[in-house]
Amino acid sequence: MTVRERGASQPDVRAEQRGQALAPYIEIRDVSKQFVNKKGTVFTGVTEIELTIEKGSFVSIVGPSGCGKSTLLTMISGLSGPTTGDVLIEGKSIRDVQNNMGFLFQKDVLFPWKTVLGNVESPLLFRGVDKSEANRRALEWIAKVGLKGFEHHYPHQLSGGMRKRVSMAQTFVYDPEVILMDEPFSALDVHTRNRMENELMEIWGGSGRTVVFVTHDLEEAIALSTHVVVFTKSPGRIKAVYEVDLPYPRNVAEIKFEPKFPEIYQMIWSDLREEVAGHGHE
Amino acid sequence: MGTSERLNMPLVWGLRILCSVLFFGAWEYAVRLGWLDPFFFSSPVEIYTQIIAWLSGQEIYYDIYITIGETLLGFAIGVLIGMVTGFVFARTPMLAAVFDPLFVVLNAMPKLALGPLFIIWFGIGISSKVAMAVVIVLFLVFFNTYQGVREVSQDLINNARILGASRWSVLRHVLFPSALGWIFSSLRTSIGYALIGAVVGEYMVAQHGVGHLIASAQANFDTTGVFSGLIILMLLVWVIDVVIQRVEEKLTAWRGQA
Repeated sequence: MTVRERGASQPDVRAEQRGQALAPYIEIRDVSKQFVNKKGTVFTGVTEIELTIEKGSFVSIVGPSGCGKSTLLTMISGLSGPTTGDVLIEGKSIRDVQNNMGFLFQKDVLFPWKTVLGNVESPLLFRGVDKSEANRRALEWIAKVGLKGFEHHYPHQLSGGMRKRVSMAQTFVYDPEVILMDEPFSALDVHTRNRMENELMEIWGGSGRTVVFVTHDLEEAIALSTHVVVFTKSPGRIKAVYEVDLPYPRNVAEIKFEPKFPEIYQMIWSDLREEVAGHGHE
Repeated sequence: MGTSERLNMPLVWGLRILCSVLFFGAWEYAVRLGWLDPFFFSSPVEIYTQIIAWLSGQEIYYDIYITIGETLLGFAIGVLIGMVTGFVFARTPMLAAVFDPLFVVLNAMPKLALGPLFIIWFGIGISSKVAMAVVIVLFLVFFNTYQGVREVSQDLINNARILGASRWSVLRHVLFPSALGWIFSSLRTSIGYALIGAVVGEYMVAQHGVGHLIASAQANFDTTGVFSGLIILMLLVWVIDVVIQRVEEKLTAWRGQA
């Protein structure tokens, strides 16, 4: 396996700001995942994945489409287990869905038969929080994602961007320690996307939460993350892990003008380009 | 109709009334001129007179009460059993696989053919009619629920699980509302079928009910009575359908006006 750790060796300001120890938090140990399709053919999604994620970090996974990035997220979430290897959180093997995780899916997965309020308060009600408390916290988050006044709308009455905000509120309202995101903003127009990325930075910054973010957009990955993981083409392996040495708090639209940004971009791109070549990406 | 807002509604209603007047007028006229034999075709005026006579009496209300009672009871029991089994089978692939051939055969069988058996089992009272309605409704609702639950998006279930939903919560907050659309489309059809079950049961043997009324009119070669009974049946189904439609609109409001 070729894991190269590049990036500056400056004192880690971010970790200090967040007041977190750099202990392994999520460990992915020699994980592979195979699928059997209807014809009985075995297909390898990811293989030989070895990755340690520190508490409070923002890790992006980039790679060509179909390389198994989302498969890895699903395994961290506990929705499906690895074929071989082990995924651990705080040293404990993940066997089922954890109640301290959030997952922002690429697809629209709001309950279509619940209002915005009903959607946002549902994770609290599932956890047994009492109705009035759930209501209060949900309303707070709906306001925070800028949807005040839309509490009683149904998802089909909202735009794609607004639905994503509801999803964000639905996830953040129960304050999960780990947030998994699978290309959450890929379907949005560039302005909405920038705004939501900034909102995400604000919510994450200083919260001590750990984010694993899948994207095929390298610029987005660098702009948001503390670490960028590059996947090879299918079957996906980890090609390299980079630490992104840019200061926080970041403004996603402006961070690109940092002199270091193009350097980092080129460095990671030189790895990524071989993988996406022939995939028609970027 | 979905396109009705574009049409000129007064004109539509005018044409509807015109068509009815022409149809019933032609019928009445043909009978009076002797082109149609009143023994076989009765006449609109006679049917109207008969219905009014029934409605001003008391017995008809008891018959309607019995038929509606059988229909609703059969409908309720059939829906309940159909929904529960539909859910269980959809969520237990092993069970579904084992019983699949049985269901295919049972579903292919004309349920009304079970009538004689039910009369032997449950007697000539309302139970045998309820049983008829139950079997017809049960299969319809079962298949629709089964299908509806199987079509639920796995992504939605995954999201609910991530959000902390227990198995019961997934059932209540995802599977059930998601299958509701399918279930409702079967409910509207099955209320009609429940009535068929009840009425056919009454045709076979009964002491009361609209089906019994029609059957005894037929036994007396009373065509007017048969037609009048049929019209009463039609009105009953229509009222029930309107009610169900209202309920459906309420419960699936989240879909909005598509």
